[in-house]
Formats: sequence, structure tokens, C-alpha cells
Amino acid sequence: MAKPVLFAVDDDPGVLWSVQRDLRQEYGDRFRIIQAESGVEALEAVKKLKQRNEPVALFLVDQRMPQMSGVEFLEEAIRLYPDSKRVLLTAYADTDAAIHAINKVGLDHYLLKPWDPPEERLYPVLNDLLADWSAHHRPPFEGVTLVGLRWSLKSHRAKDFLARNQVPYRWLDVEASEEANRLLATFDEPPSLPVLFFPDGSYMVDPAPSEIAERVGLHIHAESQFCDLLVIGAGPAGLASAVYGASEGCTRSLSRGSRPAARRGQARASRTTWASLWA
Amino acid sequence: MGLSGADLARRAVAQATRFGAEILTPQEVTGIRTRGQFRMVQFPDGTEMAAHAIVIATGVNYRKLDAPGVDALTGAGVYYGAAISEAVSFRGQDVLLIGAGNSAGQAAMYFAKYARSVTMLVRGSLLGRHMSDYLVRQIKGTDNISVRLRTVLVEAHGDDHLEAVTVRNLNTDEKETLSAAALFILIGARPNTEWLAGVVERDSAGFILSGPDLMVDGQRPKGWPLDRDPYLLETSVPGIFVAGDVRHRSVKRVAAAVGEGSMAIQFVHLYLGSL
Repeated sequence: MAKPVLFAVDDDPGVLWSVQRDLRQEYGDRFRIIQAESGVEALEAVKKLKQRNEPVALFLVDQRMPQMSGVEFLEEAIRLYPDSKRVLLTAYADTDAAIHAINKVGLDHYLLKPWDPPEERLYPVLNDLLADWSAHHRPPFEGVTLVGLRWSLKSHRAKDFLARNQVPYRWLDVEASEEANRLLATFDEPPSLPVLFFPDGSYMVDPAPSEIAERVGLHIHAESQFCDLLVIGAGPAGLASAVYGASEGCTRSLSRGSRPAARRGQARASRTTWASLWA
Repeated sequence: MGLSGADLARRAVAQATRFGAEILTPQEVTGIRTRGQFRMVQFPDGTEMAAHAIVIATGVNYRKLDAPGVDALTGAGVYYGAAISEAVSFRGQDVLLIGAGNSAGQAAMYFAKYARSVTMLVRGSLLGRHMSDYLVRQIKGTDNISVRLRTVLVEAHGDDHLEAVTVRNLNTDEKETLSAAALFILIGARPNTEWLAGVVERDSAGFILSGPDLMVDGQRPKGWPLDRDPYLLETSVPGIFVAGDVRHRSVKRVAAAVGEGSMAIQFVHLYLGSL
């Protein structure tokens, strides 16, 4: 599968060069870095990417460019890539334009030039945005396939459990999906529903939530039988306690019943992440 | 630049894990007991875990709706909470929603993106009593959401799945049958703290008392062993704290819950420092 694209646009060749250098250094292993010196040129490249169905994770765009401004470019680009993250590079004098763009093009962030050192001023912001993008981006499907009946409480519970725990899954209704029936046809006897199929070809018939949890790698049992602080509940209050408690010592957070506690975050969270909860 | 509930949870989990917290999910807790300075948490398999301090942040659940047909059709068109995983399957259909709190309002806005119509059934005579103004305005400005005030559910109909409901207007007493593919119930937040009966003091609805709310006529709660008043957010058992919606007199808002959850840690530290 093609690496997702990070797209940098700046009319100043020097700035563009250092942007792509910084991006390549941190993200080159996981993302493809593409650059353009004008909005018009960038837009052409974006169209080609779309035709090849290649994902774009992020646009990092200079605001002040001749012909087409950064915001004008983003307006066009997000028609093709509505889920891509948008970051504007601005000089101090352009902050008004950037704030205006928050509403106009759903800007995710604006960065003031210069962004040195990138470890402090560039990567934390981009890490956060790229983690969000990755969490929502759906590449060709590689998760759990849930086959069940639309009006069954058991099927609903399995679906709800996977959704709440942010396990990527796709739902196939036996009454509506041919593929569901193809999958069920592989059994000698019709199995109880729902059935979960995993990417490695294994499956589970009508499993309990705890069995699903164990299979998808959720963490149920504690490492040891003692700790300083134990938090029961993993909603906003419980998770806040866990974050603050853990930052200063040992914590365990228990999610009582099947309340949500996402486990699949690939977020390379930094201290700034928490602050951004208040944005 | 808003943040969805799922994003909030995902980020907080990542953050807590990075700081070294261990997160166990799903894991049910069946009881808490005190053994000397230890607070023991019991699991369904009979095992226990010991901690110096505990924060209870179990939130609230929606109340079961007691009307004919509702139980039988739960999971088959009737759902408790905003079952977001089901929203897509009701694309282009008519959806009902019971509730007038912020969660009901947010759910209505969410379902309105998929459903042909969303009808909110509200017992009260005003939408804005329990709901933030911005949401009331969003709902009023959304064409496919309608609000029926002073209206309650009488019965849910359907053979193997929900097909219609009967509602009653409390002002006119008139009944009416509405066809609906789904009914989402988001009313009556209940704290679900029966498992804590006899452990910490609760109000008559089951919400957990803490801090100054425990003091009656300047007296500390019964059995309180220490020579100080309970800290803010501390329950009637020293070292057991409460945060968020499950707390007596809490403000039922996400930001408030996050604030209390983090604030509780300050008092956990005070408590741990005194051990």
C-alpha cells in the first residue's frame, strides 16, 4: 500500500527546502513527502494523487504566496481530500488570516515562522494531527469483520463493544450482505450469530465481550496486585485522574463494565496533547 | 477545532499509558472493602487488588424505560444511549429520541446527519432547561429535527424489530402513533452505585457524597476515623475519592468531569502524604 502523503507548499525555495527536510527526517519512514512551489502547481499534483487514489494525510501550506494564497489553495484541495489535516505556515503579520481560515477551511493549526527547533515547535503539533488522521483514516480494510443480524441484541452488543473500544471493524448484515453469506457458507453447520472474523483467517462464534477483548489485545488483567492509586471508570473524569495520577506515580484505571477506554491509540502523545483537550 | 468523545478518550488513554498508567478494559468491579490502610477492590472472579487510594469515576447510565414493548425490542431498534455504531444503519429512515439533556441534543445532531428525520420526545415544556444554549440553537436550525414537547412514550410496537411507537401529549392527553425505525433512549441518568451500598455514603438517588456535602451540622460522617474533615472530593471513607457525574451535586458536563478527575489527584496526594 502506498505511503500516505504529507504535502508542503511554499513559494520561497529556501523555506520549502527546510520544510521538506524537517518532514523527511521525522516522517520519511511512514509518509511520502511531496512539495510544490505554488498553489497552482500543488493543485495539479493533488488532482493526480486523487486519481491514483493515494491518501493525503496533511497539507502544510504557506499563507502568503502570489497568485493563490494558502487559504485559497486549501479551499480547493479539501474538496478532493476532505479528511486531510490542514496547517498554515504564517508570518506574525498573517495571524488574522490564519484565524479567519480556522472557520473558512477548517484549519487544524497555524504555525508561525520560523519553526525552529522542529522537535519543539513542529513535530509535536504534526504528531498530534497525524495521530488523529491515522485513527480516522480507513485504508483498505484490515480489521475485524463482524457478521450478524441487524435486529439482534447480541449483534448490537458486539458492534457496540468494538466501537466503544475503537477496534476497527466492518459490519456485515446477514440479511443484506452477500459477502456475509459467503463467509457463513464456509461453516458445515450454520453457526450462532454474531461471528467475528479476523484478518489472519481465525474466527469466534458468539463470543463474550471478555473473549473479544482478549482476542483483540485489550488488557484485562493487572500486572501486579498492588498499586498506589486505582481509578474505577474510564470516562472523562476517570481518564483525567489516570493521566494526572500516572504523571506522578502508579495508577491503574479500570473500565467498569464495557465503558469506553480506547486502547488502540497509535498517538505518539506529548505533553501538549493534554493541553489541546481544552481547545 | 472541536474534539469528539472518541478522540478525547483515545488521547487520554495514550497520555495516561505514556505516563505509565496501566489500563484494564473491560474489567468489572464488584465491590470495595477497607483493610487497614489498604483499599481493596474486588473483581467478579473473586480476586482482589489492593491500592492506597481509589478514585471512583463510574459516571452514570441511562434509566431503563418502563413501557410495553420496550424491553422486548431492546437491541432490535430500541437502544439505550446514543448507539453511534447503529447510526449508519438508519440512513434515510425516521428516528426517535427520548431525552432533553446535552447528550440527547448531541445525539440528535449526530443522527440527523444520517436519518431522514429525527424526532425528539421531551417530557418538559421547554427544550433549553437541561440543554446548553448552543445545542438548542443548533437543533432549531436543523431542518430534519423536530421536537415534541410535553410528550412521553406509551408503547413500542413491532414484531421482530421496532416499527412504530405510541406517544401521549401530557397537555391534551391525546395519543398518537408514529412510525419509526429506531428509538434511542437518553433519559434519567442513574449512578449505578448499588455495589457501593454500605461502603461509602450516597444520596437517595445513589450519587456519592463527598467533601463538605458529608458534613451535617458541622459533624463529620459516621465512622470517620481521622482528626480532619474529609477533603474536597473525598468520600465518607478516607482515601476513596469520587469525581465526575457519579458525584452528588456534580455538574453534568465533560469539562467539569475532566476538571474533577484531575483535581481529585491533588487530594489523593495530600492523603498519600499523610499515610
